[in-house]
Amino acid sequence: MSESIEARAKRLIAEQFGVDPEELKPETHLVKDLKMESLDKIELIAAFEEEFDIEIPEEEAERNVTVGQVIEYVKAKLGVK
Amino acid sequence: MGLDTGIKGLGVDLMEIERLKRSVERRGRRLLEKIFTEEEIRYCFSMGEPYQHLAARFCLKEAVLKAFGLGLGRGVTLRDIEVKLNELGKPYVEIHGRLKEKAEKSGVSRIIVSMSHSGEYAIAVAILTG
Repeated sequence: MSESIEARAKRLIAEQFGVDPEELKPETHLVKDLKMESLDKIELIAAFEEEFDIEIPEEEAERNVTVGQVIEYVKAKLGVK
Repeated sequence: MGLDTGIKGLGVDLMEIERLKRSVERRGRRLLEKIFTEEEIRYCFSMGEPYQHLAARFCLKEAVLKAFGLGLGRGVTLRDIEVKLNELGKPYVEIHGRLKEKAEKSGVSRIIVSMSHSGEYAIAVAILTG
């Protein structure tokens, strides 16, 4: 089976912050827990755009502050339930 | 006290040049284009050490946002802040889009900026005045 959207999203986030994907919970907060800075955010947006072949405007990215929200956002963008 | 200096905001930003270089190496042109305008990219890559110039510009953009008390999002992107050089090589910024509207609303008519780099770091400051 190919890697799920959730697993792919977690892999990208884990790579960005140098953590183990297993440590990422839906409620893990990008800023408070993973200490996301401005450049991390831009890099993550670029990584997600490339991985999922989608376009992510910054004002949409802004609304997703937890790992769970990011995964739901990507699923919605791809039209997956 | 009560003296009106005309200063409406101050921002500073410091970064490791290598940090930006790593990001660009990982994400390529897509990342560059989210931060810099075509002209900025062209200028920096025409220099011997492009990343120190890119990092100083990144800092300057962040410093301007901080001076306005803004983060990214809310319709503002780093590309809305364009770093240019005058004929003497002194930097100035041009702002566009939502940020320009915000400046007009807040009565900011001038943005005074400076940037520098040394060794591993780049730094920039921005002052907003009426």
